[in-house]
Formats: sequence, structure tokens, C-alpha cells
Amino acid sequence: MKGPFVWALAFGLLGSTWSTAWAQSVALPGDPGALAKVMRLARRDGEAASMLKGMIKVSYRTLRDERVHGERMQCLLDLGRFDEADELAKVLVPREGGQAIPLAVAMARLTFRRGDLDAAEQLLARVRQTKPKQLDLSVLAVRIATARGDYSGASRLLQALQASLHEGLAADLEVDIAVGHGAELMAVEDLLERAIPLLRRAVELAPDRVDARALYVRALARWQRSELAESVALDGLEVTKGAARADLLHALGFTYLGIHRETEAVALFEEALRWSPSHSLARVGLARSRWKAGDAKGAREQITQLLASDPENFDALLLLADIESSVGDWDKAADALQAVLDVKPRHLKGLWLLSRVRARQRRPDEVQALVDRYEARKQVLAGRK
Amino acid sequence: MFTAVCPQPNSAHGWRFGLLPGLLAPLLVGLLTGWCQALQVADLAQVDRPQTFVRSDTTAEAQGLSGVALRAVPAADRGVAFVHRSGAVGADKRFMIECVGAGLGLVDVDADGDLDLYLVQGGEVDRRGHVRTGEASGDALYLNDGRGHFVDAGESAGELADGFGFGIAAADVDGDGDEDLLITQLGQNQLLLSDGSGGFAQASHAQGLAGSPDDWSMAAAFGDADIDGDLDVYVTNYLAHDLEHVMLTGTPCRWLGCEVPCGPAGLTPQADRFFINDGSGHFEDVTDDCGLGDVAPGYAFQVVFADLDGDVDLDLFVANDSVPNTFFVNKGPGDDGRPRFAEQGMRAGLALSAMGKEQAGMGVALGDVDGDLLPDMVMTNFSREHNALFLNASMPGMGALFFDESGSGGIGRPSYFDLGWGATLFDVELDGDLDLFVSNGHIYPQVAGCEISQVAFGQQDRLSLQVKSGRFEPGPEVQLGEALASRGLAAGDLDGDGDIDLVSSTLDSAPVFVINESTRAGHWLSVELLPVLDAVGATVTIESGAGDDVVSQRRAVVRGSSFLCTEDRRVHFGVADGAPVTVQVTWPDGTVESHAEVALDQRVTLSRGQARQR
Repeated sequence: MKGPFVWALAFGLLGSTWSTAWAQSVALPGDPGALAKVMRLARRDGEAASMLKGMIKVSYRTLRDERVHGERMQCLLDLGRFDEADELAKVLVPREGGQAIPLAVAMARLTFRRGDLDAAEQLLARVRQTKPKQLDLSVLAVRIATARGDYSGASRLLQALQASLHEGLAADLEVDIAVGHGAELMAVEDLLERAIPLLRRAVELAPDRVDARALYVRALARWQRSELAESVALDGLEVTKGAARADLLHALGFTYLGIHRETEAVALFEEALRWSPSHSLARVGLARSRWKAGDAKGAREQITQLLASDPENFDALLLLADIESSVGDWDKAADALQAVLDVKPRHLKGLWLLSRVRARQRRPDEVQALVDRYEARKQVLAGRK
Repeated sequence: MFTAVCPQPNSAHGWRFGLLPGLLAPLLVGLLTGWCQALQVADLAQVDRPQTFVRSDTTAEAQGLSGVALRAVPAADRGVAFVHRSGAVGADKRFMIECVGAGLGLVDVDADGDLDLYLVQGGEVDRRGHVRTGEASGDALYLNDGRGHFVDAGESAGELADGFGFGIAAADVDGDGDEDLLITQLGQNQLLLSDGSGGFAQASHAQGLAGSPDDWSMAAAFGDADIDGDLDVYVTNYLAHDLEHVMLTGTPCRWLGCEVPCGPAGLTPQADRFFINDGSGHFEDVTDDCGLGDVAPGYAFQVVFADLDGDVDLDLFVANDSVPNTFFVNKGPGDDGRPRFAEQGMRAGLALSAMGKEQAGMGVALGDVDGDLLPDMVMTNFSREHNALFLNASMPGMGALFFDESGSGGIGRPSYFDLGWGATLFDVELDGDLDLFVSNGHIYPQVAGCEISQVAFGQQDRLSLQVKSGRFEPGPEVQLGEALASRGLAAGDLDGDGDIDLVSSTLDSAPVFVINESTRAGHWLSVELLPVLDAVGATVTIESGAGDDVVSQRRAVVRGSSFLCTEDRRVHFGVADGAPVTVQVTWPDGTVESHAEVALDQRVTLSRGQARQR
């Protein structure tokens, strides 16, 4: 029992950097329980990467321990190495009588990462019966609340945790909440203004979080602050490398498209796609920019490419309908819109646009039917307000 | 008039004169185009001193659009001292009533053949939003000397409106042969009965058109909805000017991070009103009896009353702010003889933009843009919405049918950042098609301090030239020094020279005259229909050319259009070919009369019953 105590003392007294250095230079404890505890403390201080490096000296037997295994998975999860965590999850068969706490927490986190919120929440609740105040579980609760769109709940949970979290994790969680909430606010025109301070703070907290910066740029562009949006995007692009640039390039392209600078937008969307060929927003943006610049053929090519991999992409289908309408190909425009309505029969814009296409085709009964559907949907939405 | 004597120059130099010193201009022009033209320019140069006149170096000239010249002239130089008042000025505005502005009317009030100018006044608003009228208000009437210069009618005008005014519509409500004026107001409307020689008297309770004291009325449009030989009227109402509510919600509200007056969002829209004339000029509110009360109220601005579906009777289009526009199709009389309307905005394609967005409909211009003899419409909108060009594709079996062609029509993109108000379609250079002029200006003065991209309070008005059927290109800029916040806009031949000039009203400022000095690409014809009562809702069609080259153009007589305005009731045509034309008048009851071999470059008066009937 001496080992864990010394390590805990080291973390407590020396701080994370020193203790991590120690961890790398001195052999980690051989006792799995002690090692798991050291790993948890290291993660708490944001030293998951150093911890994983030090694990190279740990025996296979120790690594097979559920507690250590769980902590290893959590280190990977902390570092965003989800695929590796996923691989580790397949290695260990849970023992009879339930999992060790670290592994159970890791599985709950991984389940959350896989997008199964209900299952993650069930796992979370089960582990909490044993360890109601476990920090990782509290963090997971914040993440689940964020993912569920309960931003005020998430903020409350985070506030209660704040003192226990290392700065980086606290900021990360706050930015997550801001990004989720900001995106939700941006979806409603009247609420756009409320998204701005949230996203501005997110960018201040985590200047290197590309998702937050890109969303802030798009919010600013929609808030008709194109110059500021441009500046925020360019600041980010100066320090962002690799594929992560795609989101920022798209956001800046979106800004330029909104102020009729299509040529520059085309170049930005093209660069975004070079970094991230599957970036569907950038591809739609490129198609739209090309079309606005008078290149209907080029626009259509981009949409065709996108729809090949994502046939239900509404943005692409609606744009395709627009392009086909502009050249008078009503049948193709109707096909694109029908594809939208096949997936979402009450899609308001789809209903309206198809009614206009049917009017072009001189099919009054269908026009009326679509208008009726549109108005019925509108009434439902008005009732909800 | 002057132009009847002087040959029109064919050169494209007219626009440059404003850039030259006043004394050099006539000499140069004399050398180039003859002494007569020089005299004309010299006359204008001495009388009107435009602060600036900038011919943009856009693509217009390269595309053969040179020669178009609109010269902005300060009102004072035309004898007009009127300054609009709406309450607080600039960023101190706290209420929507201070932001909307007012319309104006071009009406021949004294029957001398030229267009006189009626200017609607606002009033004073205290810091609690209470309105003061009376001395603080008071509309103005200016009489035209026939050459586009005006004198204040003063006492001879009699009783003008004195409330907090917004719109004006002129029509012969009592069938006595002259046009009376309905002035829409915050509170009850006022009806001014004309004596036919420039004098007016306020009608008691506006003869039924007053509305409720709580109304905030905007625009009005006259038409004979039930084809019974008198003129009915539709009055738009905007929103409940509920001071208590505005105060409670906390002024100012926010728009794009900018502190601005509250509304329309969050405030209660008011229902419009439709009044039926009993034949004596007295009106009854029959909104609910005619199917017009069946739809939820919108924040209504401009209304036009015209045959929009090609079945002769008059329909109603209402441009609504921030909510879908409404389009009421006239279904003919019900059992009680009153007209019945059915709302078909969505079905007809007029409710939303091409992309299905609710726009902030402001003003409406009516005209056959694409030459198919059906009335098309331009609706002005908020900034970042672009103006809408609704081309009419109505046909039997389909009913009324419009398509928003603002993109392909070339008016969408150039107007994207504008906040448009008044709009009018007219043939600026007399080449045989309709061009578009829109008055612009932001609604909120506060935007000046908010660092919003591409937005200014004062904005340039915008001329768009039709370059081929249904397709516009940006025209030369018209500038009057500092850009103003324009609102109303009315078109008419102010100086009697055969082309169309413009007057725009501005928020908290003097009106601006825009004088047409374009080089003429063709000829013109102005048609006045009599009696004035029967003319409302009539259409005039001319046929020019011969054989396979016959070109038809059609104009409708509407009373109430643009933004809160009444424009010249005479219809005006530009005709490329100078040969006489055939004129066909379709009266509101469907009667058609033809007039053959009508010479161009003149104003003709066509009285009902004096031509061959068909």
C-alpha cells in the first residue's frame, strides 16, 4: 500500500509536471490498483499523454487488469484517440460479476463517444451507484447533458465541478457547451445574437479549438459582421495546420459568399476540400459559389459528387433543384425536391419549392396540394411557438 | 412644351453636362446638338444646382445603355420648402412611428394639366411616444407652374390633413369629376374633398374612411371592386402602436446587436380595412363581409388594386413586412352584391420569395415588364433580402400565377444590401420597355454606429435599366450629395417635356426631385382617361409597328402604389418607332374601346364613349 501513497503524495506536492517526469524516469508501481490510481491522478492533471508513454514499462499481466485497462482507455479518450480506445474495448472480456470502476467508466465514456446517449446514461447511472462523486462520471454527465442540448444543466454541472478540473478540461467542457448551444441558437434567426457572446468566449477560452472558431466565424457572418468574421478566420488559419483548416476555410468561404465575393469563396472551398475531401458543407459551398459565379455546370458536378456519397443531403438537393430550375429543367428540379420530401415530407422549404416547380409545369392540383401541406405544417409550427 | 419645338439630341452626352461648369455647358452643347438644346440645358443649369451628379462607370455604358441621365435636384431649387418630421431625429428615435416616413402624391389638383405635389407630414413625438399633431403637423400642397417648379398653395389649398400622416391615395370618391385625397394616419384617416380647382375640405369622419382611433394606417388603394361604378378602397394597417407594451418590453430593442426602436416583431399586427362606396362617396367597412378578414393580419405596408389574374375584375396585393404577403383574388359579387375575395398568396407565388422566405415587403411597383400584357410587380424589401420581381404567368385554368424572377431578372443581386421602399416602373429613355427606380434608406438611423457590414442609414436610390425582356442591369447612379433615407417615390412628367421624372420623400428631410435628362431612344405617348372615376382600374394598350413587328404595351391605371404614394394617373409609354399607334382602352367593366392612328410625342385625353367600341 506504500506505492500508491507515495505517488499520490508526489502528484499532490510536486504538481503534475514534476510528478509526470518522475513517472517517466522512475518505474511505475507494479500493483495494478496503485497504477490505476496513479493513472487517474495523472489524467486529472491533464497528463494522459505522459502517462501513456510511461506505460511501456508495465507488464502484460498488469495491463490486463481491468482497472489499468480502463484507465488506459480513458487516457486515450482524454486525448481524443477514440479509435484506439475502441480497439482496447474489444480486447478485454468483462469478468463475471461486473467490471472494475475504471473500466466501467471507460465503457460509459466510449458509449457516449459512439453516440449512444441512452446507453451511456444507463452505464453512468449504474457506476454512480457505487461511486457517486467520481470525477470522470461527473465530467461524462456534463458531456451527456451538452449532447442532449441541456446547456443550462450542463453549465450547472460544470460549475459544480470547476474546482476539481484541470484548466484544459474545464475550458474544453465549457467550449463544448458553447459550441452546442451556439449552434442551436444560430438555427433560429431571432436568437443568433445570443450565440455571439457565447462563441466569442469559447474562442477566447480555447483559441485553438477550430470547431468553436469556425462556428463563431459563421455566426459573425450571419450577424452581418463580415469584416470581423474575416479577421477571426484569418487569425485561426495562421496557426491551424492540416485537415483542421477545412472548417475554418469553409467558414471564411461562407463569409465571402454572403457578401458576394464568390471568386474568393470558390478558392477557399476548394482548399477546404483539398484538406478534407469529405467536407460536405464545403462542397455545397463550392457548388453554390460556382453557381453564383455563373458556372452552373461546375456547380452541378460538385453536387453530383456529394450526392453520390450522401444521397440525402438536403442542402445539396435543394441547391440542385435551384440550379435545375434556373435552366428550366423542371423535371430534374422536381426530382431533387421530391427526394427531400421523401425523406422529410414536411420539409417547409421543400414543399414551397416543389409547389413552384409544379406551377411551372402547369399542374395546379399538385400546386394546391403542396400549398395545403405547407400551410398545415406552418400552422403546427406556429402552434408550437 | 419645349420639347415639342426642339429636336431631341441623339448623342449620349446629356449626362456629362452636370459635370461641367454651368457657363461652359450650354456653349458646348450648342456646338454639338444645336442652339435649341443648348438653351434648354442652360435653363436647367441656372435654375437647378445639383450638389453632385455622378455617372457611374459601371457596365452600363459598355452595354449600350449610355444616354440615361437622371439628375437629382434639391427640393428648394424647385420651390419646395417642406421638410418631413417624424419626431426625434437620428439615433434618438425610439418608436417605429418615427422611422417609417411618409408618402407623397402627384395629382393635378387644379385641373391645369400639370402634376401638383401633395406632401404628407408626420408630426412630433415626445419621449414617452405620445404624438403631437395640429400645429406640429400639417401636410403641404405645392402647385406646379407647368415646368416642374412649384409654389406653395398656401391658403388656397383650404383644409389639408393635419394628423400624423403616412400615406396618400387619390381618387374621385364622390363622382364629381375631380380627385379627392385620402390621407392615412396614425389614428383616424382624413378624407380631403376636392373642389376641382386646388381647394380641399376635410370630410366629416372621412365619410366612413376614418377607421378606428387605434389604427395605424399606412397605404390605401382605390378600385371599383364590385364594378358598380364607384370607387372602393383598401387601407393597410401596420401594427398596434401600443406604447405601454413598447415601454414594458423595454425600448430600445435590439437588431443585429444594435439598439433600435421596437417592431414590428414582437408587436401586434393590425388588421387591414376594406371599405365599400355607397355611390355618394360615403363608405362602409365591409372587411369581414368580403372574405378579407379571414386571414391573420400582417404588418401591411403597400397595397395595389389591379387586375392581376387577367379576368378584368380588380384583385388586391398587399406587401407585408416580415410575414407572408397576401394576395386577394376577386371572386365576383356574393349574394349580397358585395365582392368576395379569396386569399391565394401561396398558390399564386406571391406570398414568399423564390426561395420560400418571408420578406419584409415595403413598396410595390406595377407594370408589364416582360411585354406579355400581364401586370408584373416589383416589391421592395429589407436589406439582405433583395427586391422581388414577380413576373405574371397567369393563364386560364391556372388562375393567378407569379414567379419571383428577381435573380434571372437582374434586380436581386444589385439590391441585396439595399433597404428599399418606394418603387416605380417607367420607361426612362423611351426605348419601349419599363425600367425600375427604387428609393432606398435604412429604417434605423442607429445602424450608423453599429459596425454592421454593408449597411448605412442613408443609401443611394437605384435605377435599373431593362436591357432585354424581363432582364435588368444597374443604371447610372443618382446622387444628391450625402445619401438620404428615402421613403416614398412617385413618377410623373413634372416638367411636361414628355419623359418621366420622379419625386422621392425622405425621412426627416426635404423631398428630392429627380429630373429625367436622358437622351431619348424613341418617342412617347401619355394617355389620360376620362372620366377620372372610370379610369381607375382601366388598362391602356398600345400597338406600334406593323406586320410581324407589332409591339404591344399595356399599362394599368392604379391609384395607390409605390410606397404610401399616389403617382401620375396618366399612363405613359415609350415607343421606339415613331409611327402612330393604335390605342385600346379596357374599362373596369370590361368594355373595350379602340383609337387608331394616334400620333406619338403628345399627351392625349381619351374620354369614355368617344371611340369605337369592341
